[in-house]
Amino acid sequence: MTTTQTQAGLGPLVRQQVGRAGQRARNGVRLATGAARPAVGQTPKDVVWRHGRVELWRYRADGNGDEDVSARPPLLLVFSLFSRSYVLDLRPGNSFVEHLLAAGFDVYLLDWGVPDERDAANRLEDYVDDYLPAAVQRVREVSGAEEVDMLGYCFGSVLALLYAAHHRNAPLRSLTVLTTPVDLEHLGPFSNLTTRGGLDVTSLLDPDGNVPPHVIHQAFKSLKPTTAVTQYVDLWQGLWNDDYVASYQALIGWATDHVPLPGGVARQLADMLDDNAIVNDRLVIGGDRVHLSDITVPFLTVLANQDHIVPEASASPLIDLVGSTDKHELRLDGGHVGLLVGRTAARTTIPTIIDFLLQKGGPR
Amino acid sequence: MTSTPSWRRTYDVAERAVAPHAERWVRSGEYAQVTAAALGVRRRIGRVLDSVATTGWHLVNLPARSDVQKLRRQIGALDRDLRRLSLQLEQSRTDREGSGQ
Repeated sequence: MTTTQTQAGLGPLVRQQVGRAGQRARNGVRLATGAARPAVGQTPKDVVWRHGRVELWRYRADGNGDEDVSARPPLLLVFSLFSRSYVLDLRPGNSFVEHLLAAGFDVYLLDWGVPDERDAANRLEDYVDDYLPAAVQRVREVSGAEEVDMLGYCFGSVLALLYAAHHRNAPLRSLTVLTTPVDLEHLGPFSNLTTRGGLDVTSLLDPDGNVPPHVIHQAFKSLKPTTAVTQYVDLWQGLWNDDYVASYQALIGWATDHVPLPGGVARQLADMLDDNAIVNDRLVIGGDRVHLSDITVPFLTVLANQDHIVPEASASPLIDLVGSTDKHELRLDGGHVGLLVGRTAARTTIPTIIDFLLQKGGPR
Repeated sequence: MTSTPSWRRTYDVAERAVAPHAERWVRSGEYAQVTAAALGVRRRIGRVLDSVATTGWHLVNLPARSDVQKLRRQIGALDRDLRRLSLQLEQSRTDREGSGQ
């Protein structure tokens, strides 16, 4: 290659780099000033039930009504108590809820809201025995269906499992759980702090009686210490790209946007960690022993093999603990959030979950 | 398709070398003990500061933040009991209607 040819080849590259430097500077200023925050949780929805801080949302199938609902029974999404539910409807074009609606589901989401001192005494029973049965009943009333498909995500999966196990006659058509912590010994720092560090959970509580969001954020951050640096490296690399920056802001914004955890639940979780109660079959809810083997509805558990929050080893025993004869386990290549957000989710995870639900539910 | 820049490849190599050690450390018993101890110290310092502030407010016959928080927690506990009762009532009404009684 001659010198002239090399210079001709370098021209566009230099122009590209100069252009990107300008875009980086512009996006950097936007990020630093907090301008142009991406809109999250944008799918139109209606609040169909409310109690305390808890709300039940029904997503509009086409933004107007339910004419496009073609699958049944209705699908109730149960979210975790540690963070905000909008990750399930992150951004237009990158939304689990959008995919479900497009597949014809009547989608409901139980949003736990932001706990305050009125929720400090909440225990798992509040969610498993009170809110969930009431929400399921409301979904049946609104949809007119006899049964409900339930889908839990992360700790929401644990709540869904406890509900299905403690309410054997619950009107569930199927139960799907994603990234479910079961063998709590494999939760790393979370379980170590109480079991090996001797940490008293009470010492984590704020004066309002809840575990404050910053403690939860630090706990999640410590699971993968290099992430704090890597996320800035990722950002620098993609800072020139407006779409990338918007996705980054939405996802990182969510990952740092935790809610307080009710102190009563935190104390119960510490006991569960000490006992490794789920795999050892020592769960107690409302004074009753609860056995996952009592779950008999069609069941799907989805694991992510690169999940650093709920490692594969923590989620994998679940399939053997559940009593259903019609049960399936799906191990997918992805991370904790990558199961629901991003291109891999759109290509693999979400279609697989939708297939399962359609097989168990069927057309209307 | 854009290729990965060399600086990024260098970072990735370094990150791959460091990450397993860092993750092993945060999953170790020593890390748990150090973190638990640090949280304990922070908690104790907070308590001392709170108690000084509380004494100050009480000296001038005013309620301290901790008094207000205690009251709010008590109201919160009552609120929870009411909430649970109303949900359980709703549930039993639904069950009764379902069984046709």
